[in-house]
Amino acid sequence: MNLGDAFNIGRNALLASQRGSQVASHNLTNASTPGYTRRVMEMQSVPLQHGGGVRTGEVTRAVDPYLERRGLGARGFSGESEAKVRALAVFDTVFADGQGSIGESMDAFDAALTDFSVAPQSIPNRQVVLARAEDLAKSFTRAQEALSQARTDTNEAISEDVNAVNTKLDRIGELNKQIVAGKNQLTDVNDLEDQRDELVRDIAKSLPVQTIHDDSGAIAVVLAGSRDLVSIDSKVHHLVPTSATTTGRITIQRETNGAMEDITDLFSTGSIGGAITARDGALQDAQTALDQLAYDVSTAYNTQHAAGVGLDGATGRNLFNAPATVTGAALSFGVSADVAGQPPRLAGASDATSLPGDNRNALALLGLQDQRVASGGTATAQQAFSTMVAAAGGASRSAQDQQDFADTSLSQIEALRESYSGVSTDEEMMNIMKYQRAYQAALRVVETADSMLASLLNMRAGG
Amino acid sequence: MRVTDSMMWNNMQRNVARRQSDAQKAQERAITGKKVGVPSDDPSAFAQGRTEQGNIARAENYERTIGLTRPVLGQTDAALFQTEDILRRIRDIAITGANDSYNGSDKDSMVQELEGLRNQLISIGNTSSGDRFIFAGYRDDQPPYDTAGAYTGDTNAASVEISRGVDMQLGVTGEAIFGTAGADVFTTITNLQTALGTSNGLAASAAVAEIDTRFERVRAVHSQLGIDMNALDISESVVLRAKDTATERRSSLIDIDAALAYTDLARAQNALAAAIQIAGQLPPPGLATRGG
Repeated sequence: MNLGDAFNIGRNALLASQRGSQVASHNLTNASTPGYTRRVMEMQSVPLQHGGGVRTGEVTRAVDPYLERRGLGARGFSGESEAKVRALAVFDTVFADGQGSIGESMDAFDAALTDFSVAPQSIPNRQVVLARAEDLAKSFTRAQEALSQARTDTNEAISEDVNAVNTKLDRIGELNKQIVAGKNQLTDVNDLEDQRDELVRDIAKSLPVQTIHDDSGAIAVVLAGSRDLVSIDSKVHHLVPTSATTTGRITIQRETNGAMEDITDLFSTGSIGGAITARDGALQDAQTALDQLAYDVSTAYNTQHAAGVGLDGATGRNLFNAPATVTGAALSFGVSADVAGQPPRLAGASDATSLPGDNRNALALLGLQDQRVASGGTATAQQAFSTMVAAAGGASRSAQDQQDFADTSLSQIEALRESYSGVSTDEEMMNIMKYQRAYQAALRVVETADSMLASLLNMRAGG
Repeated sequence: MRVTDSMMWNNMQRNVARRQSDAQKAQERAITGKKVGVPSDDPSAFAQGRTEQGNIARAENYERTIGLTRPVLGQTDAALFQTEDILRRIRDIAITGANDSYNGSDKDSMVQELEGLRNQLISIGNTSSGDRFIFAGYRDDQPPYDTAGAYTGDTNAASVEISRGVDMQLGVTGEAIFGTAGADVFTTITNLQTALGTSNGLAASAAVAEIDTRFERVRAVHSQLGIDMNALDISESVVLRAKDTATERRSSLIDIDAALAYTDLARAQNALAAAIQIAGQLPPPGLATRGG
């Protein structure tokens, strides 16, 4: 045996165990670093005819592409449901029962009309009717304002989300370039890849993305399977939110060949998609329903009120502002200037000759609570309101249920991914001990070779 | 399965967070006494609860209307009794007047008494409840009878809704009690006074017949009033029962059983305490934490 080989084997083994414990220490200290994937060091034996011993190979990241892909989908789902819950949380305040709510304002208005119908000549009773009518109108206006605010907030959230995604896309593009360059120079790009993957996981919460890996080390980030956000050549395509000032609806565009393309519909999931779905779905439905009910209620009461006669003998006055269109009816809901502040003008009578005790029109106004004035003549105002509340509450409820489910599935996938890619301190501690032993063993190899060499030299000297 | 440190920590964080959320919800339910506080808790129960709340409010409206109607009917009742008494007295005077055995001064005092009775009837006709004249029909802001007994009121009587779809006439018009102009009790009194003044026995007898007819009319109005008062009582019990039913239904939809709420709260708090306790024991003994 060649003693030089023995020294070589010992030296390589020392290096290998040093490198091994370096990798284990790196893993151990990064156990709680976000996005860190455990490093695995390859070791190979060197064939004896080539000198034997051990050789360290590449240090790679423990990544399971399948789990990574599923993780992206689960994050999108989780982000989507979270955004929906956030956008629809407004329903629980707008439609909750209590003082000032639409439901109780309707009840209070009917109570005032009841008293008015019993004693139509009483000015205090008339004042109460006007006050409750004002409250009723305000409750609609307040609710619509709250829903509009929720819409604005949701639009802003979409816009901020898009901007944050753009920033991350830039960084992914930058990392792409660094990784390709690093790979060419054979330097360690594992940490850069960790950062890039973490960024991809981040944006996956906002929008539906997949990645395509290239041999060069670059990745492409693809939106909804069809639009590159980061190309293999590291070119970044920004998303551009439009202004919502006129439409109340922020859309999202992407620059393609110099032209802007509306890709709002591609956001099927992720927090942006969830916000869009909630905004254009349940939130829009609630706003439309509220406007419709405000329109129906004010129109019905106006018609009946205009048919009656006030204490001054005049007829044809509106009780509420006549809404021009269904859209905006809730916001413009208010007591008409014809009667506001003028209780005697409330039309409780049907006939100018039978004042002031004539309560027929007051009874007719009261009777509107049983008339199917809403939803195209299919429901009473209270019924239409109940339907609206049930629909809104249902949307909010199912978003919450979806979030529970999404969180559970995300944590399962995360656990699987973590199980594969994460750091176990016990495992790394054992690796360190293992490499320590290996290092000691390698030292013995060197020692043994050294003493063999010494014996050999002594023998020469002695002879 | 390979278990890593992050998995344990993440898992624990998630569990503690979930228990915290559960405990918070249980606390909310126990404090508010409601299992459905906001629409998303249970959309359909919430919407039904809202409908029941509306039914309760409506029952309260009817209760109030009934409460305001009852005294008016009571006043009408008393007025009718008085009217009947007065009519009886007029009839007595007319019968006496039809008998020629009275002298001039007796007849004068009878004419005087009739004048007093007329004034009593006028004041009954002008009965008011608050600022309302209850026998004036719709024109109830002024006394319906002038000093001569001419009716200036309205011919319609106001109705109110005392339970769903049930209207009740709130009082009656003066004309329904005392008769229409020219054929009312006041004309009869005037005729009787004239008959007494001229010692016209025949005319006095005719007055008796008129009073009899009037008496029957008043009795008819009075018995209708009795029926109405009875109907009012029935309506009130119907309305109260409807309110009770609605209250009960709403409660079963919205409210939580107190015992259940506290048991749930205790359970949720125990679960939270357990999760926190276990979290405190992390990490489990490992190579990195062994004593040196």
